[in-house]
Amino acid sequence: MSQRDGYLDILWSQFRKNRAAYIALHLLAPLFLLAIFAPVIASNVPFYYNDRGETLWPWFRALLNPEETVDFWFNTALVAFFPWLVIATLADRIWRRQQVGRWARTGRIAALYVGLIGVVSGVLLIPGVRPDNRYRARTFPEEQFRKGEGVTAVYPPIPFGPTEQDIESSVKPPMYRKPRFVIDSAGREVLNWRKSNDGFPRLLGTDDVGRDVLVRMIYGLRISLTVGFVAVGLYITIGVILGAIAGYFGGAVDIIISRVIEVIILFPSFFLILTLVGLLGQSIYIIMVVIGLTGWPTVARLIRGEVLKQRAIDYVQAARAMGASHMRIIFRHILPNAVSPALVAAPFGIAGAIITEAGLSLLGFGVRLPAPSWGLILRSGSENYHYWWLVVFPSLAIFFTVTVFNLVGSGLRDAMDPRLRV
Amino acid sequence: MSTLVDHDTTKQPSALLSIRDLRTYFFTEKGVVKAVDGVSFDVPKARTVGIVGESGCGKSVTGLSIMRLVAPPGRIVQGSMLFRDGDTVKDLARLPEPEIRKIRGSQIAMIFQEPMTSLNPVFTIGSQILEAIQLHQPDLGSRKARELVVDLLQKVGVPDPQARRHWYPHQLSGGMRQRVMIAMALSCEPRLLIADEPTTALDVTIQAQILELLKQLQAEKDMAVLMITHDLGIIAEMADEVLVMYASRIVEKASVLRLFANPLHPYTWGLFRARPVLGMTKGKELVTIPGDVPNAADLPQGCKFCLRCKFVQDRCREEEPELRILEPGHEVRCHFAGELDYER
Repeated sequence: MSQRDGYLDILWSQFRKNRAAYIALHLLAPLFLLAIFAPVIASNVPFYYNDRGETLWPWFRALLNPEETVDFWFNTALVAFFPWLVIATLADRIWRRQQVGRWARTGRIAALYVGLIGVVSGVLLIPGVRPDNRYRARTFPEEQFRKGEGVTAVYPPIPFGPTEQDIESSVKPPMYRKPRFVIDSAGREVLNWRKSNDGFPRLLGTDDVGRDVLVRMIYGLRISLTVGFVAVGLYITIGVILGAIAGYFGGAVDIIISRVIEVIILFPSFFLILTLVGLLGQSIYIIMVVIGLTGWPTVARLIRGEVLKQRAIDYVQAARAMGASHMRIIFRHILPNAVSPALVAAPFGIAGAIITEAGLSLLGFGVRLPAPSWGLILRSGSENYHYWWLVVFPSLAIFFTVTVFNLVGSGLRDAMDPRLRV
Repeated sequence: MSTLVDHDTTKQPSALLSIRDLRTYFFTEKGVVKAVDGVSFDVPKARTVGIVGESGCGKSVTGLSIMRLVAPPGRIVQGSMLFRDGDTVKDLARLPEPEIRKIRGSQIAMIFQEPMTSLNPVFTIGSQILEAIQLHQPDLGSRKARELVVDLLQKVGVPDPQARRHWYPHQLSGGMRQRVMIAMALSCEPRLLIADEPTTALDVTIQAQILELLKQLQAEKDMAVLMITHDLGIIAEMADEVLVMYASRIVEKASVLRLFANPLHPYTWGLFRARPVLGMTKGKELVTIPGDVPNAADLPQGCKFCLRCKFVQDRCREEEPELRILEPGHEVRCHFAGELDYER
């Protein structure tokens, strides 16, 4: 740790010393990329379909017209991804020449991506901009491809959809492949394949109505990450703001906020969600909002403590002597020094939210079928454990994802602890 | 109760800051602590006024009261602080908060004792000075503002300012940090700089450099300085006028030359006598003022110094003396000042 380093540089060099945390952090990006690029990897609509000159692009229409809101956001992230890569690379070059600091550049590049996602989704929300998905119910049977020349299609590598049912192939074990021909009631040999399912094996098996497990796991990552980040983002924001206000102003404000904290902290979020879902029906929003509204008191307490500590340090009085307003002092001066416990709590919160959502879906109180949640896959396997692939794979997914976030959180905590500094 | 008071300037001396009967009390659960109890003085334009006294005498609270930085349970209960802002005179004690914020940092600036903790550790020193500039001169433009930052750092003696403005406080030594604080304070060319023991935390050689820097900047910027300290040496070096404070009151007020030549109050005389001097014989006991500063909640009736004064008499214990002008330009709060025979 040289004398030259700023605070973030010190944090980073300490973080790097923790091998597991470092690796886990670098696994976060692939996880996100997997969630963002899910439709590129697995979908039951072709990118391109050409029937003797009639060209269709069903995949793009499906991309912009997803059924779930979760998919809408991730798909806009996908659409914004390549433009972002290009713009970010160019912008980074310019910023390097302007000698913008390393961490400032990182922050700007991240903000650029978020901004682009916002722009794309905003554009898509304008009525009339989105092309309608006229291929939603259309299948592309193999006969069409056998009919003759001139019929081609390009499919994603795993040609199954997350909600695409196939009752004939229900609860099949991994590496199952449908027989190509089947005898129908009249005794004739009929093609059993759709071109989309082209003899591709079910790599991790199917669930009780024939949905492919691998594809549901990949799309399930979207739901887990969404619940994690939205719920935790919500409660960290609320907690930081309220904790900072309580700690800075003290007096009546502090008393009121502290009492509210003491009341809400007793709410068991899991059971509250069970109750609300029982009353209002299954919804991913209930999960996110309830976790968000019951989780902020812990963060608020942490931030309040840090702000109380910082308030007594001279630079706060120096800032006031300089003429800074209360808001400016809280948000620009004190918070950057006080927010580290919240940053440590965040990854652990995300891990907890993922487990909560999976647990709720397992019980049937989480997201609604046919959404591809890991808990729902587990649920379909819960009746009969002989269908081991319905239990093992989602469990591994939950375990792996939660461990990655826990390792990142633990690495952050150690990096911020001044007593562990070399 | 008006915030703008137009005084007839022919009758008023042209003081930059006129404090009259300032009283700042702290209302705690254990009682009222009268930290500043009836302090009046003037700070003339571009001169240095020094406030000297022991810990707990109220000198820091006086400085904070001027900037209205006294936090609850402290409050300015009485008094006026008339500040000459250009042609208008404003009473700092009665200005609403948004008005005071405009004055803080731009017209009156303050530097503090501990350079270690006076700078925000997560921002570079350049960005902290930049913030001070942009807060009060928002139309300056970022390029000009950055140039001003480099300029200021150079002026306060930070080497290689262009590179060092990206440094963090923990990368600088104490003397450098204090220079950065001075740069921040000076960034908007204040009319008055309040320096609250700025060199107490620094070693003697750095102290000399900082004081030299302050004197030079004061001359350049035509700025008044209120130097709060417990060190008579700094007073001798910097001040034109001196106020000696004891137990929340001014006990002696004089020009620095007059004070050093002829300290009239027993406390001041005791302070001068207590300093070790070169050439003293080894083995002799150092002279001290016996006793302690009285507990603010338990002040004696009558003169506050009566419990420790070598010349105490019955009258001192009963009746609190007023601040009287003994000679032109020399005020003392003592019944018997001028009559006492101080052997040297």
